[in-house]
Amino acid sequence: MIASGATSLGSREAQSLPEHPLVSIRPSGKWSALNLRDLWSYRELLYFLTWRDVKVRYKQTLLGATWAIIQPLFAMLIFTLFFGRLAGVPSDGIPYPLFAFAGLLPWMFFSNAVTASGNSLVGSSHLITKVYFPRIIIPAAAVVAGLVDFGIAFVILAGLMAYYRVPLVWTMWMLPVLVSLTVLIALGVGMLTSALNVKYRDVRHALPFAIQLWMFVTPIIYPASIVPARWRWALAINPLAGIIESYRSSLFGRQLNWPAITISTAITFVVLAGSAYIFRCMEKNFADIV
Amino acid sequence: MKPIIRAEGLGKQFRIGARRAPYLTLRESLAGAIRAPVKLIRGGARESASTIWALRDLAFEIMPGEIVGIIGRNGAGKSTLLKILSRITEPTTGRVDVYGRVGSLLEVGTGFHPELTGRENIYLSGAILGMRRREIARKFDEIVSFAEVEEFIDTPVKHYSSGMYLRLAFAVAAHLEPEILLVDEVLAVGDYGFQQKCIKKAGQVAGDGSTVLLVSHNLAVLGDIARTALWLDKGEIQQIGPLSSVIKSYLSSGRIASGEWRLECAPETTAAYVSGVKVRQGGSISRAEVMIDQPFEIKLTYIVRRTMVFCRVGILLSNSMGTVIFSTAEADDESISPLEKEPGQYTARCIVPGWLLAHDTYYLTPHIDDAPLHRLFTAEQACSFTVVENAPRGTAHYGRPGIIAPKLTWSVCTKDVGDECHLPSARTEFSEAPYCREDMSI
Repeated sequence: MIASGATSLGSREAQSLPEHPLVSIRPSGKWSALNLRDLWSYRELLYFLTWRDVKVRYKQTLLGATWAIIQPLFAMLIFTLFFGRLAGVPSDGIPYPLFAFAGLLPWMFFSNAVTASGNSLVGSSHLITKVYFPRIIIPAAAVVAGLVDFGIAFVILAGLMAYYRVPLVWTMWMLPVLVSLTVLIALGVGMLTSALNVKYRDVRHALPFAIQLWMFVTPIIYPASIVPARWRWALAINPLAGIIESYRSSLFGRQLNWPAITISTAITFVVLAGSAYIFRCMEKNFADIV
Repeated sequence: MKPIIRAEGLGKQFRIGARRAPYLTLRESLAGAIRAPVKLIRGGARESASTIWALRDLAFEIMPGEIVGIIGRNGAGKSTLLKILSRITEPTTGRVDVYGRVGSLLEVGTGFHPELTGRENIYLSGAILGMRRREIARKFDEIVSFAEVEEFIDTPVKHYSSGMYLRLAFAVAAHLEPEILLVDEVLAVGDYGFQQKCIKKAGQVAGDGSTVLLVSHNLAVLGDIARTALWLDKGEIQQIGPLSSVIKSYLSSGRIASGEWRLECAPETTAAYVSGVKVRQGGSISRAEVMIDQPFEIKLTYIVRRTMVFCRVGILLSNSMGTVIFSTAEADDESISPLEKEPGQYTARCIVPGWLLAHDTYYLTPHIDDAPLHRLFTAEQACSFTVVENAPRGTAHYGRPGIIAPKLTWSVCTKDVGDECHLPSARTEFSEAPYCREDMSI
């Protein structure tokens, strides 16, 4: 078909082309699986995008990374004043500041991660329309970047626990598991909202509001124990409820609520699988509609 | 020999609805879901009316080491083709088999972050373009010296001059070393020296045996690099073959000059867009012709949707070979308001003097930048017109070669005649020409 091109003899031409195409571009069906091999080859990009998000987040701010401490600390102080002191919300025998902080820590990670990740695709339209890579990396990087703030706030928690002379307990081995669960549920929700946000810009307005409501149905400023027994099942639907209660149990050496953890884990994985599927279906149109 | 890229029955369909409103609100979608069954009962024949084929049934093969220029009018599907080949968007029909690593350069500076330093951006942008960290580290020094930004490598790129920024951005992309390189019109930005450097580098990449697919409106540039051309017209392949013969038929295909252009579907998302361009001389011009000896007016109408702090509206004027003759922007005139714009519809006019452009067909590319060197909106070669010579055949000004056709001041002196200086009679109004007098006084 093309006559002239074959005359150029470059160095690479001597090498024979691979037997099978490296990529075969064609319309993807509805049930296309997550391309894990492709994802793996782009793993370094996840690192670089996360690193960019972390690096840029507090650029040109006066207080810099101190914000990662200020936010949960002030929220804790205000909650202690209004709910702990004035309203007298019980805290299962744990000093209220510590109780609130232990709940706020994973919650703030979750809410910041979901917000950042939900807006991440729309905010990266310049990348999506100009270069190919597995799109899932964008919301994932936004979630992973939140872990840095989470880590900083954890140091404050350790300080608070030392101040209140909370002993180290063996149940703390659960913490890495709980952190992983929190990351996964944040990823699941973040991925879904980011994909929906590309198509329906309503998400941007609904998201802060939804997260605020979600906070109140999660036992952060109050213990799950004040919820009447016949409504506990409703609490169990919210995976964050089980996760956050378990943070406290493992930090303060309480009895771990295994049924709640199991349900939360199951729901987390269902959410993750569901949003990965929806993301995959919507992904192919991102560049056309973003 | 086996082709490195083979496309069969390739097509891409866009919903026109999707063009007009790229994203839906949830309410519209819900309403649509309710209406859908009703529509089904009434007959789904309307579906086809609201879609267009940006590309239709393309079949081609590209051999390894080939350098292919993709040409065609604005909206012919050139960019869509590159986007499919680089996997940014999916085709609606057909398939492409690609037997090599693809690197795409659809924009200079993809993934650059202004707050990060040059060093950090090299790694970030490199990773986004598909390079491994080790690969970037190995080529780091080479990239920096190509970009000539050694002293500023640890300065945030927001403090870079636009030239430095472009050089660094291109340097990263140029060191990608893919087996297949896709380039879209990126050579249109930057100064002349930079463009020459890019062209040289592209030629070098090609010399290494890479396959290059290049979209450009600049046929002169294509002629320097490419040997094969693929001409797209309205989403279909018009011709593919040796560059010179394709360009020949492309140029003679009678792209009719219109002198006027109006945007058909306004993009929904952009903060501002150009809605129309018109070339006028005296009244409205007939047959899109402009007389060479008279000034003419270019009128742009544009819409600003949201308040913009930086909005620079300008035009690029290129000739029939695609060479940019000049670019101008309304901000060039210091008396015109600052770059901030409130929402509204604007009309901008600029006057091009007579005796500037030579006899040729010219294309106007209106554009809006929302930051220095950042195109927000552009309509490639939206409007065209022809400059015609109205001087009588046989006179001095008829049919002379050259890209521009200025009428210059001349003076001729001769010592033999005396102390009088002989000026061309047509230019007597310039009889004050100073150095002539000086010359004579010696």
